[in-house]
Amino acid sequence: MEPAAALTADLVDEILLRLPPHDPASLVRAALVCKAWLRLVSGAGFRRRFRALHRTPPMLGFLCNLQDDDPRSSTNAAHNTRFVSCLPSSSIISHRRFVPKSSASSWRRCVRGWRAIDARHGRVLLHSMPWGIIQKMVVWDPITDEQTELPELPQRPDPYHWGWNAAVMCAVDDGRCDHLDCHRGLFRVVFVGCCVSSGIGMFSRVYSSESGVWSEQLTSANNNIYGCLRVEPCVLVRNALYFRFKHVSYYIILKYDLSSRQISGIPMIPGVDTEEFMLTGSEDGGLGFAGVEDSKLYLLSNEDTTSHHRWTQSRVINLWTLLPVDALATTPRLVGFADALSVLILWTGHGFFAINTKSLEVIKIAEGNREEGSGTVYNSAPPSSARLGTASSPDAGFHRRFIEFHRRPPPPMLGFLCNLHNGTATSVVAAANADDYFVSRFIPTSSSSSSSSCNPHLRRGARFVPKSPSRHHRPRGWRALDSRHGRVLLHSLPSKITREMVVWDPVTDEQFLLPELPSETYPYWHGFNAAVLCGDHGCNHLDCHGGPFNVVFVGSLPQGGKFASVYSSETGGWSYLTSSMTIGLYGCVAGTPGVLVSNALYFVLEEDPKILKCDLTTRSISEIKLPDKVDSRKIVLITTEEGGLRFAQVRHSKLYLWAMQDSHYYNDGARWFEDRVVDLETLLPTDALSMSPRVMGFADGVGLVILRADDRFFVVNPKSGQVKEIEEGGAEGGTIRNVVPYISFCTPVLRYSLA
Amino acid sequence: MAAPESGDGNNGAARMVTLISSDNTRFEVEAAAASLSQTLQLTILDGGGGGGDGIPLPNVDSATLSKVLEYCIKHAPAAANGGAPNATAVDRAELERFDNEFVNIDQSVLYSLIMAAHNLEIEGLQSLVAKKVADMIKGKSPMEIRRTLGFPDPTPEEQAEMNAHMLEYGWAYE
Repeated sequence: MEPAAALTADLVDEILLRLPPHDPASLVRAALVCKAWLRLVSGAGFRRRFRALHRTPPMLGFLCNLQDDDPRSSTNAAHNTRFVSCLPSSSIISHRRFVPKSSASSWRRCVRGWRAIDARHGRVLLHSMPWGIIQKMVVWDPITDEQTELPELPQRPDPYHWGWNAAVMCAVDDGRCDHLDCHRGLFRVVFVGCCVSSGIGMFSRVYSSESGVWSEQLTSANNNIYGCLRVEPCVLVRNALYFRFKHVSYYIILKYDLSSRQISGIPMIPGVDTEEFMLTGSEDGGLGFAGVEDSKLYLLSNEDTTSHHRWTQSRVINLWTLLPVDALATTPRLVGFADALSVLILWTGHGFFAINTKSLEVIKIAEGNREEGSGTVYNSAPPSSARLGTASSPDAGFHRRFIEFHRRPPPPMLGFLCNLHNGTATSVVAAANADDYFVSRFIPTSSSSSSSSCNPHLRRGARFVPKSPSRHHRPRGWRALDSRHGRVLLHSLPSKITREMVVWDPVTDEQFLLPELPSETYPYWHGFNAAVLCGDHGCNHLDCHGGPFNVVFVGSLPQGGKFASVYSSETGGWSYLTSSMTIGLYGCVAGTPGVLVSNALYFVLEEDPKILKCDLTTRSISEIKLPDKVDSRKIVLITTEEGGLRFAQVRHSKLYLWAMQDSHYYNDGARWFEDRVVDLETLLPTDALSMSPRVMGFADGVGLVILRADDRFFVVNPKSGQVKEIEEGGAEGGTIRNVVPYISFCTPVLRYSLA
Repeated sequence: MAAPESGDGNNGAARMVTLISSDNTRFEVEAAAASLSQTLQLTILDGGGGGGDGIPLPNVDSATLSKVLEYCIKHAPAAANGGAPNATAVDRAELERFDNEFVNIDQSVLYSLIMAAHNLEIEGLQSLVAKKVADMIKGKSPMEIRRTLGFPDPTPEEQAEMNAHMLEYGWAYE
């Protein structure tokens, strides 16, 4: 007797029911074995029995919020959300991407992409990108590809202005729906926003797919709760949603009760580094909290008694015992939590790992390698979303091969911009012919002939000449603020009056006049600084001329705190990044260039000597105290190859490089130590040391410090001790304020090719 | 159903029953082990299978029956504890190890075992064997599954149909 024939339908049923639910493809392949099996698997009875047997739906994957590969290829694809499958490679919906269906809608043209905000009960909530242009939300079911476009929220009060968050869920309460297969059922979306100005405080609206409209606005009974919500994952625990919420400068947890629709606050654990945690469910089904510190995963649970909330540490897991050793080469970050499964998603430079907090099972679910061009993990929504980007492909031909060949070492420092001012500026509204009052001149580091023949803007003494006319007042000059990724950021002087900033690419001579910052913030008072950086997150920055860029502006609030805004060349507008009433209260943002260390910008504060950290990933600002007796006006921030933050200072003919101990966990009481001391007396010519040298600038990426001694420029490599003197000239006739190094490849553009 | 005490001879030595395979081999086992089979449980509770008469099992040959009983004897103590909530982790680990070894057998034995488990309604065994077969076919293509399970080669019509489906579900093959 043939064995197969012996298998009755009942037995086949028993066998196929036990195929793994996390590999849907295996069921499909089995269905194709023969007609009888196909009938069996497609039957409603089989599907019901399959769910009943396995109970918990598998995590099919997570949504990755991506910054697009090549934004120039299509205007519609700058942002998108891709499904990253956790399934075996032959999976059912692997890497499916959200594609909006309703092509007729007029708003579609303006949408540059989509970002996943939340995912639960088989549905995904997406929001159109960029923020603030078109406020569209869509609920998407990746399995059935059903899409529901939500109506726009009433615009009064502006629901988005002070931060918001939203969550999607099945409309049937936990008791009456097991959420194993509610794909086609009713759902609801909860929107929570905050409105400080009109005294409303927290408010919520609920969208119901049954009625197809948003509910009336319900404000919180306790309007003491105000602050800033962020779009990031929330958890659903025991019929309540929990959000992280930034109340002025500290975090609290916001509880939204789904049945009473009341909003209340739960205090955070005192003394916890509050940026780096994630709300989770606890083992006993309550609210939990996870954080990573020193390669340990801490799990805490919240005891919700009627009178107070108590946090207890429920588990400490040493990640060294769980993850492959090499996965911990970079600090792991929590990126998501799947609340139905108690699975945490952790990202390290090695990829994505799913950790079951109950069984401690670990599965590597996806690769996520920076080097491969996947970029940085940005944020997540459970099952999770992470923003990844991929490298843009440069033009073909010699230029590309040239850059590839020189991939290491990085692009050379072609020179630096020297900020000069002539005479003494006493009156801001001064006379005419003041064009050169403030000037930024280019000083090439190479010998005079080579770079000047290549590009007129990189000649010795060349200066920025604006192409477009000024908006209000004719500037009395320009000052270079920053340069990075081949671009230079300049602002016009005096800045309070002219209020102009330009991003200039000296290699291509492209100029972008940035729009004015909203004036109600008085952005230019109490000092300001800004940084320019490539806007392509996965870019290797070897040759991103002509690509998108961002400008991050840091200024003081009228009350003394600090705020940051970001300009994106893709949207062409400024948007709010973060602010704090307490950070940098007494300090004044200095104008020396900031540095970029793993997606955070650092700027020097004067008067109250501190370093201001502006984290672009978490959209937050914080401050780092400098060691006592260090004059913040005489330091230059530098970075190391290992990605650490240092600062350089010259004292008594010695160059000191200070490093911070464990930069991550002593945010305020940072401990600094002298990492390296370079004796300049042995390096510089003796006649240059008649006066103490000044440290002028730092070339990020090539690790060179620019010193000024005896009215001459020296470029020092602190690592190797190499010193090079820059040829005289170019910076005559003015007082040098500071220098801004310019790093780029510059391949000649020849007008006539040899036939 | 009725309580297990309803049987006779419940003093000291465990009650034994006799099972007779299709090829007339007699197996004497404890009633508790045989009662893992829902089918046999009723007969045993009615007092059958004791003494000389025995319970005939015309669908199960002796080789399969001895294998089935091996499973039943091992699992009977745990089952007697009513799903064994108080079983120690060691006990459970030992059972798991036994189960893994147990299904590590020739495919033809596996098929007769799953049929016997089905006929005798031994839930744990049925589940164990079905899982083993499911593990054997997961990750395999439809053709490989057919070969693994000893299906005859498909007829041209069947083949054409499979191909059509494969085109539609191309992603399932990667």
